[in-house]
Amino acid sequence: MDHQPHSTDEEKEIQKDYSDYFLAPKFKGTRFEQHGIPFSFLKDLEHIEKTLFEAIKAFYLEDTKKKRLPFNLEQSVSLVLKGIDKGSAVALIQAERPYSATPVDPIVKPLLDRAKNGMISVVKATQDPTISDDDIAKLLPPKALEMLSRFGKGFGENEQLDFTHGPRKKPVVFNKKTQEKLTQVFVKTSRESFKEIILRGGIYEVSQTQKCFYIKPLKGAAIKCALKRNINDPVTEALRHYLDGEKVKICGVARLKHGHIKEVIEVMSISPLKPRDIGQRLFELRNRKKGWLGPDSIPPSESGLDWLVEQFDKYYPENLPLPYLAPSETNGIIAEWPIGENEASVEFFFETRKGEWLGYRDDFENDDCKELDFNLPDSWFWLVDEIKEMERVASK
Amino acid sequence: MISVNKPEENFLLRQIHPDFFPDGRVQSSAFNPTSRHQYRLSTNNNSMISAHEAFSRHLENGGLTIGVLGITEQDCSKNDLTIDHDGLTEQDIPDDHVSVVFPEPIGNAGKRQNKRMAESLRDEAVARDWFYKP
Repeated sequence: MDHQPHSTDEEKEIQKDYSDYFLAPKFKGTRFEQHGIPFSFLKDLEHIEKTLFEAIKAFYLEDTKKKRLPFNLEQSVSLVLKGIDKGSAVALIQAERPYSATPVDPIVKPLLDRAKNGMISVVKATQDPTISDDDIAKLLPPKALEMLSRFGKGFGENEQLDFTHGPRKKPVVFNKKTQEKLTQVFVKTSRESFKEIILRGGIYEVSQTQKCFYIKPLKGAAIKCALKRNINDPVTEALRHYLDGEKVKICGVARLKHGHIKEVIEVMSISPLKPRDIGQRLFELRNRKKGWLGPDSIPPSESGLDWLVEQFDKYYPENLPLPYLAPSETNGIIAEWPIGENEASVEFFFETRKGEWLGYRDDFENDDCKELDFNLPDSWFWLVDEIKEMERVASK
Repeated sequence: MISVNKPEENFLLRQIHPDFFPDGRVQSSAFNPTSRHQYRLSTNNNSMISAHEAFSRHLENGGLTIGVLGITEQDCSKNDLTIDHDGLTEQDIPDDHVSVVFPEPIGNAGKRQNKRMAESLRDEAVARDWFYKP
């Protein structure tokens, strides 16, 4: 009598050898119990292919020291779902030349294997608490890691994927926690973030096919911006007047890396720069040298000018009159608002981020001077109210 | 180019630094001397030097200017500002140099007062238009 327990179907599947396949990840969880993979999950699988492609591209450039990829590299390989095996569901994935079902180019094959091993190593490393985020990030090129961090968002709580199931192999499990961990690793190591920004510059190129345009900001390198139908007209108009020196102001959401704008992923508004635009004017003042106004005079600092642009963009409403700006002899900026018959000014001191309001009221009992701490939003609100009041007085 | 001869009155010529001319408007700062200049506003007496010559000499001496405006002694006295013809008494400055002496401001009220006086001088000068502007 055989006292050995009977093997279940699943256990039998575990013993199967899938080494003929490029990948045979095993899905577990309610949705995969019937040995199938829901359509909704197939889109998610695409991120595996994108991860490998990004890794291949980075490895190729790294190995060859070239700056450009061969034009057909991405077209030389394709991941194909050849079938679904039991257990719960094992996706049988082959790497092939597209449309030919023939083996991958021998030049690409080692890169592809390296990419696969890198991907599996990353997943394995996320399960080891002793491995730091920085060390995990070193296992795959950044763009590949970014793609992998997008995989698995569709996993339910009890669902998972095992990359290397089978005899004598320690499971390399990818589940919701893995996805969250990879996102954390990617965000932390890439120092990538998203932020609402304002950019000023000239639009010098538009690509309708790639749905993007390029802006040369007042300061720094050109930046790619997403082009959508709703901003097509102002973008085209700005492009037409680029050679006349026309500049625009763009409000949008940017992807930043290490604190620098990499691209604008959404443009919320675009308009030609107004006369006396704060960013433009303060940019003009940034190259003053020591002695700009006689011996020992020090020009406003770049960091101070950047700060002031940022503060005006943040707190000063678009519809209020813009001040005339000039450097001050205290290394800051004097802003003057001539409104109607009156004139008020603020001198901004960059070292302390404070300022001094000299108002327009000839009221000696209530001296119309005020020291303001522009580190505090309240000071900006107060200033905005005063300018509104000046407008009201002028309109009487 | 603007070059105006206004001989009927004694004007004090003031060079306008380009940074004090944002978007075509003269800032009051152009007429408001600070502690760095001992609250003395440098001008030149146009009975001794023309606006064009004063402009050229300022550039030759390494200064920056976009043009020359003029104020009068009356503009100054109206604002209780005194005039010092220091070019006639001091060795190392040109004979035509005249300083408009502002009070050293005390507190915010003093600063505001000086600014008001600078605004007044600026307004008078701008109303007269440029004496010289290339």
